[in-house]
Amino acid sequence: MDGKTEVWQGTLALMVLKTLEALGPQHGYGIARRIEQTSDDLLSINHGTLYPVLLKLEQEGSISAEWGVSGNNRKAKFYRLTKAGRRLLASETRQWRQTTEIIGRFFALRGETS
Amino acid sequence: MRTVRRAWKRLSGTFASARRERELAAELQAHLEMQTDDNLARGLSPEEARRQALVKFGGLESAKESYRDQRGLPQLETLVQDARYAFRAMRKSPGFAATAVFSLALGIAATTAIFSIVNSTLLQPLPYGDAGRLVTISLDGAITAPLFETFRHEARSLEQAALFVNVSLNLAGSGEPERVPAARVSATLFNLLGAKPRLGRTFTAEEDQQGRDAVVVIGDGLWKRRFGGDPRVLGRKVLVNGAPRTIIGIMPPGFQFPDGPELPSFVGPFPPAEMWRPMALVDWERPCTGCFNFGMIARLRPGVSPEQARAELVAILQRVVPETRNGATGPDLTVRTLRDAISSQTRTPVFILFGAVAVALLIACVNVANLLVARGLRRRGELAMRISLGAARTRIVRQLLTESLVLAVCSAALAIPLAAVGIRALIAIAPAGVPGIAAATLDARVLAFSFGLALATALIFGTAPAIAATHGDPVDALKSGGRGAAGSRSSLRPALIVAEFALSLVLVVAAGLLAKSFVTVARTPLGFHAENILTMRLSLPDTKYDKHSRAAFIDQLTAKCAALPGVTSEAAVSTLPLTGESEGWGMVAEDNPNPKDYTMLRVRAITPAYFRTLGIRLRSGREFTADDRGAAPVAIVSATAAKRLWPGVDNPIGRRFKMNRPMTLVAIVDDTRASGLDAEVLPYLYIPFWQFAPEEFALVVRSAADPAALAAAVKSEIWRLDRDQPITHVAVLRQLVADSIAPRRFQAVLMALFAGFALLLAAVGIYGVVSYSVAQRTNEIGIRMALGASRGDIVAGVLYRAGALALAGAALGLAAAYEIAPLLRTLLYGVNAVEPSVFVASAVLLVAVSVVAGLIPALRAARVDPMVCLRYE
Repeated sequence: MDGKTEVWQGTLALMVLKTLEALGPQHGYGIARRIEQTSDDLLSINHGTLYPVLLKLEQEGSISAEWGVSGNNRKAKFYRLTKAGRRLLASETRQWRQTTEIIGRFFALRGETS
Repeated sequence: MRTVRRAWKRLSGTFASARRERELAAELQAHLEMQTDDNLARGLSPEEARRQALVKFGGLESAKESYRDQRGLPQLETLVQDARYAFRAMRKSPGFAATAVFSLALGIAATTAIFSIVNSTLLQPLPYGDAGRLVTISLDGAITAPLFETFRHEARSLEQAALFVNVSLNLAGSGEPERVPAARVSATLFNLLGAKPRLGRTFTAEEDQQGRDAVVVIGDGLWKRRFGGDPRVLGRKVLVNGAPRTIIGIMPPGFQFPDGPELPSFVGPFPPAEMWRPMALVDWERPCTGCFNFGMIARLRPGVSPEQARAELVAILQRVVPETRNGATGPDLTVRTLRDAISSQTRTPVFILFGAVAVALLIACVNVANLLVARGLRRRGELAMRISLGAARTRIVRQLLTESLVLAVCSAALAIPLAAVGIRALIAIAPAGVPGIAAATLDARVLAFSFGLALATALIFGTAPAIAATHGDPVDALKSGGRGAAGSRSSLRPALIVAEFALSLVLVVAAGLLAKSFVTVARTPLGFHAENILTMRLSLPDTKYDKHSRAAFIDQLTAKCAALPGVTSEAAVSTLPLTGESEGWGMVAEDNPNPKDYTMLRVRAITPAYFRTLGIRLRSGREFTADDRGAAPVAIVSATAAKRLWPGVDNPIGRRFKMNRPMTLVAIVDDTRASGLDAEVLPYLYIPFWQFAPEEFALVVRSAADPAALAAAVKSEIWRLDRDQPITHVAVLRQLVADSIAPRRFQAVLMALFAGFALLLAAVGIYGVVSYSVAQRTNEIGIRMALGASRGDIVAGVLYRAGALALAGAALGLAAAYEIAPLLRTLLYGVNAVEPSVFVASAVLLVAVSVVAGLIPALRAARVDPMVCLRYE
């Protein structure tokens, strides 16, 4: 797999975790919708790409899944953040903030020698 | 932790169940429906709502596919698929699968079994601390006490040194008296070996002195067997050869010393010692410069090589014992690592058998490759079809290799129980005295070896056929309906057959050379007559007999035996022929100006009738007589001994020679091969038992008929004289002769088995190729017969083809054997390594086998009905 997808998947995973933290148990469609809404529809994702990410998180033990019934009475798989998932989210959030802050400082640089 | 968990989940996800697939479908379906519901709620038409949901999702199948990749391990999945496919293919052609698996399993099993012997006899480390620095030091196989002291004190390359000698001791004092294999050892021995007792202690330097040595250390086996593993035996007194000795230590299980037939050469086939007593040299042993009675072991200083040590010892020796004619000169001094000393006789045969069995396995591989090529030809249509449909060649090669791997793994699974049986059989038929062989088992190393072997074989036999099968234009294959092969493609199979025959020939030649050596050795003149002789061993320990009572016992015993019906002659001797060698005495002729120029002679104390009984011819002089008793000491020597003691003297009878006391030579007898049929002829010294009588004696009784029938009567005569006399090793001398060449027979039989296996495989191979070519050429044969060829012509044609292949293989094999046979040289006796008769006979045998194997398809070809054939066309 090429680097871009990895980065993208990583970011997507973080969005999924954060969404689940905010919403509580939620099915795949709900997560996808919420991510789009949160980004004010700036982000448009292929909903299909969400599922491998959910599977990976589940395999790692960050989220767990069980079948339930959705608001409009459809049988759907609901994902829930586990303890390990919360820890992961906390550390990822910290890292992400640090990274953006550092990058931000670089963007704030002005020419000093010119 | 997360990665591990995920790897495990993926591994288990690889074996996708239908349930997982259903769940995935249901989940994605629910997603789409929810999206469609929302779209409908936004007022879209049902079709448009559905379409947009699908667009938004971005390809249902590709999402599923990437989900599946994420779920399992795709490469592993392919492998599992291929393996399943391979199993199906094997079930579809059970004949092929059975032949391939069985021949490979036999090959792998035999190789594994021999490897387990290599492992236990040569690869296992010696059970001593830092064993690489341990060496044995000997002059012509043994050493004297004064030389030992000199070496020990002067040689800077030796860190520690010890003397040892095997003895067998009568143990009594608790339970039945028994004869225990034991050793006299210096107090330093245990420390030198890095061995610690499991209980108690070993000898102190003080206990290593005459008169203070009333102590013994016992082995774990004896402790458990005789004393029930009771730790309170420490400090208990037992009777050893009738004298009380205190048990002071118990060695741990696995401790063995001396170990092996090579320590030193006179030790002979003793069983491993179970009891040790201090060396405690006695007054006459300490200064005796001619008493080559001991073995010497030493630990080299770190960084000193055995060669350096030898150079130093030779220099010391030449200073102590100046210029000698044929006695203790430098070249006779050997310094060998303990590993060498223990396994020197085992190493070459074991490695050669290992090489032979590896060749047999290689032949099995070639055979299976041959079968695979044949199958590849039949499956050409199927493979061509898959290639045309877009399968990559590498993918198909990978699949074919997986099939080979499945074959190999099945074979290995079958081979392991076979190997276990084989190992037990090998241990059972192996000649006595191969150190470490009894410990041969399927341990982790051996199992790893056979697993690796299976993988290697899969690569060896699988690669070429896999490439051949996918080679060529698929269109051709499809056009011919997958039925046959183009002429150019079939060149691989004859090449494999030629290789098989060449390899087989090498094994047949090796088996022939070993068999011929065995026959030559078996026919070597012994120098004595082994027929109709009963032998047994007795023990007359110093604690129970003195010199006179021992001589009296022997006198009475021979007289009693002579009176038994059926006995024609009887004698006693200190060491039986072919049961290990005796100690050596350094003897000097009295007229030799250099008193230190001794010749080492092997000693036999005998009763006068010994030569008569064994049929050893007197060359000149007379036997010992009763008149020699009480007169001046006398001796008889073998022809070789006389030549060395009195070089250039025609008739030395009447001359005197000595070690301590001078003896007069009264006769010269023929040489005997008493130390081994294939060993160098040793010089012997015979002295009457009243002059020198060791504790151990053997009785030899010649009978008019079956000697074994006499055993009971002789034993009861012995017990009438001494009811506590332990009688051991009752045997017929002919059997001792046979036992002494058992290792050669063992090697020849095993090699013949491997060669037979190889020939069988080669015959199967050539049968397959010839049958196939007959089947392919049925039409051609029919046409030729229609054109007037006789059945004889057809048969001859087919046989010619088989014979030509075999001949090509034989030619190649002869060249290979010419290069390889010299490796066998150390195992051969009286046979040249490139013996023409063996080479020619092997080649003839090979061609004959190929003709027999070709006969069945040839006769089938001759039965072809030209009319049926042409009509079919």
